[in-house]
Amino acid sequence: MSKQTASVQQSSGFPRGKFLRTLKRERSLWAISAIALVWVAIFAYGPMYGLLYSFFDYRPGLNLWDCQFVGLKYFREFFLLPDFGKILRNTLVISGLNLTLGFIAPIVFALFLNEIHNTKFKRTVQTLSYMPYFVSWVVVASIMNTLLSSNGTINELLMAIGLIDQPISYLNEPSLFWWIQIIASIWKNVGWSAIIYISAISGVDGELYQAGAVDGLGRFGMAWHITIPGILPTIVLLFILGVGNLLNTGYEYQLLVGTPMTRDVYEVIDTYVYRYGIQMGRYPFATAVGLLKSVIGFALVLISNFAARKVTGMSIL
Amino acid sequence: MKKNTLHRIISLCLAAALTISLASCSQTSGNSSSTDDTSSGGTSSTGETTEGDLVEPSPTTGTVNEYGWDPPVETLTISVYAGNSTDQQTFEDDAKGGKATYDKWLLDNMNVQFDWHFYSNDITEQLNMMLASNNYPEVITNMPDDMANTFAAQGRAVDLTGYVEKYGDNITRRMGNYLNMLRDDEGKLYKLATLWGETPNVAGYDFGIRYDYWLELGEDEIYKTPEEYYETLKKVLANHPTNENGDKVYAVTATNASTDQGMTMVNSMLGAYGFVNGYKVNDDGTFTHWINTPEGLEIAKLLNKMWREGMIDPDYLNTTYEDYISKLSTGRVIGNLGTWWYAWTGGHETWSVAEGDDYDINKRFMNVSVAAPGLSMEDTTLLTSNFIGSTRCIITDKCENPADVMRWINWENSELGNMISGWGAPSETNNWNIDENGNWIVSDDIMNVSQKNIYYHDTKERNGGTIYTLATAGGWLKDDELSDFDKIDPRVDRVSIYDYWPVDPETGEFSDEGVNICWKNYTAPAFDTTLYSVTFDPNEPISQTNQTIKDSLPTYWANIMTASSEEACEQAFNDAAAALNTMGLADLEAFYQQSYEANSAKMAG
Repeated sequence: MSKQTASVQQSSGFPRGKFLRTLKRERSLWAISAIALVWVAIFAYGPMYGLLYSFFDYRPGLNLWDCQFVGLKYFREFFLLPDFGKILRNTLVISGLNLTLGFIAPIVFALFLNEIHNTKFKRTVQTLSYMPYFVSWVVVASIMNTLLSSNGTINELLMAIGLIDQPISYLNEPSLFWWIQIIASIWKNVGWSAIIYISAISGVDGELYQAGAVDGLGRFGMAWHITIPGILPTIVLLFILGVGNLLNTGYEYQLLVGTPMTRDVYEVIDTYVYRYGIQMGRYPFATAVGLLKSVIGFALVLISNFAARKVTGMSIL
Repeated sequence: MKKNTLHRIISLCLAAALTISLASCSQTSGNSSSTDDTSSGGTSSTGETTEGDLVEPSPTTGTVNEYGWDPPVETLTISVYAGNSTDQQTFEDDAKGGKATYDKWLLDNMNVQFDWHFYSNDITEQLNMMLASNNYPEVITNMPDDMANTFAAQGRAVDLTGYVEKYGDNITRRMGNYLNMLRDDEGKLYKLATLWGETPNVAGYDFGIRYDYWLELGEDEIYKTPEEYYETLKKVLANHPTNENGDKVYAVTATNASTDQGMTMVNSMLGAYGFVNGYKVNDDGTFTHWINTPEGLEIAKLLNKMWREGMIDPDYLNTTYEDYISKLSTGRVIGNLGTWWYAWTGGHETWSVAEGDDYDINKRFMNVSVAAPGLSMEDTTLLTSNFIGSTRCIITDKCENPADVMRWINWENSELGNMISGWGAPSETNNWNIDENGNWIVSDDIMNVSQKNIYYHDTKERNGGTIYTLATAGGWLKDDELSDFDKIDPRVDRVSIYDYWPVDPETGEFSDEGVNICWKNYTAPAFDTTLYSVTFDPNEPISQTNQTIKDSLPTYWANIMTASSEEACEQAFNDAAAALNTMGLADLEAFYQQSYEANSAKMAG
């Protein structure tokens, strides 16, 4: 055996003994994780072979290998969509609003809730706040309709107090669509999303607050100097993960509340894929867009992780 | 070092898992590997049968029973997927016992059973999953035409040509040349129409109005054109600006359903102008989309005028079907520009129940047909009838004996089989029975139209009517040169597997006064659109062009109709035309024309 070969084996060879020793030492941890790892392997990695469909002219019922290999055809098709610019803009705006206002709202809510000292009232508010999370988008759409139609509650109220003369068709007004959606989304998710922050706040050392009080900090000062830094790792973690979902806006709200009048502002990647990929049975196209979203999402996670490390010194990778 | 090694090992494991998954994937596509999918026109190179290849039917008793069926010696069980018209649980719960009743009748009299399945998800998605998993039943019905073509192209649908010739005499006799429309380019039959026949409806696209309010106007004649309809609605609105609750009243509205979104108003207008499926069929045989026609602009201006004058419900894009019905019944909307039966459901059917004995027969919506200026009612396409419908039935390659299934489908297509499939078996407890002379007598209970839901529909459900239909006549059970329905009780007319109308046998008029009021001014004849049928293969570029234009049109239309002035409306109309033409509207026009020409050639045989 030459020196060079021996060197390669040494560097990339299989250190079986070390691995087994590590495995033995950490056996209880591996045993605990085993089911989760199997689950991930089966349900997260197993289906990944499906990504191949995005490179073939696959038609259900045919063997994948009998279908024509088309390379990046479906990826190109996505980028060349006549409405691509509009769809991407809407996706980024809606996600951007969710990642800013929708992200901040539960933090603020958790901070406010932390300031309530009456336990009963606090629990009641918290319970009530996360109940909308369990309300389906279909019901939310119906509520929106009741509130915002031309003879809905909001219009009747505004007309009764003389603020407007004619009812406003809020749900058909493109300039209001994104704002109405983010308000609905915050209402639905704020309580649920706040749970993790409330939990993180409860982990902040109580002595810090006592020390803060001694130093003359008020309630705002304590929240700013103690609570927020205390939950910052959680905030960073969730933000990085949230950035990864930037292109996943979902489609339920858009399809339920969107109208032809607001189509220019509600059509997002997910609604497009649902209609042109799933409903039309064009699975390669749907897969290609899904893969593209995942790759971009992964890249965004890495970028935001890098940025977070640089700015805050914290990261998840 | 340790960390790197662990990473490497985990990566190796995952790569191995991926490779194994890939390998197994390539082996799990069943029998499909040897097929080519052309997915167009249902042309197949596999699954063809010649006369000699036909499977013989299972042994039968050799005696044709009173229902015209020669039962098999061994029970014939047919497994069927029938789309998503209901859900499996509701079907199996069988709340009214109709399924159990009909199952028993089928077993006792026909020695036939069904293993019938519904799935609540979208039928195209379900069929694609069935194709991918190679797991589907013997018969699939209620399926879209393009999916039937896909099954045929992959050799998964049995070539029925020989079976229909040998065992399908009722099908060939009653469908006549229309059967040719279902053949592929080589003249082979892989699919049948799930429900075929002429529409039994009197009304189609409706220019309806509150009849009692119209009477108040004291006009001698009903309106005849779209413009006159607008004028009449305006007068009624002047008399009734608000309803009983003080809410503002509108002339017309629409629903937020993806098939509507304001387009039904346009389509109704286009029907009055004689357009077919939204296209103008020119004298030279070319097709022009309505957005490229002066008639389209005329329609746009009229509806825009109605919008600007506050006659159209501003919430028309957010109105659900239930809201629509509620707006009609609460008097918030006094016209019905679109689907005729909405005005029945939201009108007199609701009021007659709610108001009981106090109900005034004139309080109802009247369905009205109008024609564009210069056109006669015969030129309109308000009431259309597609003889072969849009859904298909196939016998799949999973079926061991297609001859048995074809024999059954042929029985379904006999006149008696058709009636039994639709109304349930004849009996004293059903809506119909067969008397000693062989006449089909309907129950006296169903002669009252206002009680239809209570007597007819409920009784039909309890007897299993229309519970199992594979491929039969869903339209008018008409006594004509192809079909023999002269045994049907002359007290009913326009009988179909779903419905009927009581008539005076001597005058032929509807026996219910209210029905006559509703329909006396609907004089548009049914226009046969069968040759204008179009099937889109989702994998062809034209399909995406169609989808893109279909999706965009309601948005452009909303901008056109809600424009702030006539000039702005015209500008929006021209902008829409330019944008849609850029999207490939000319290709779509050509495709519709080519489909029509191909259909005409097919029909001629």
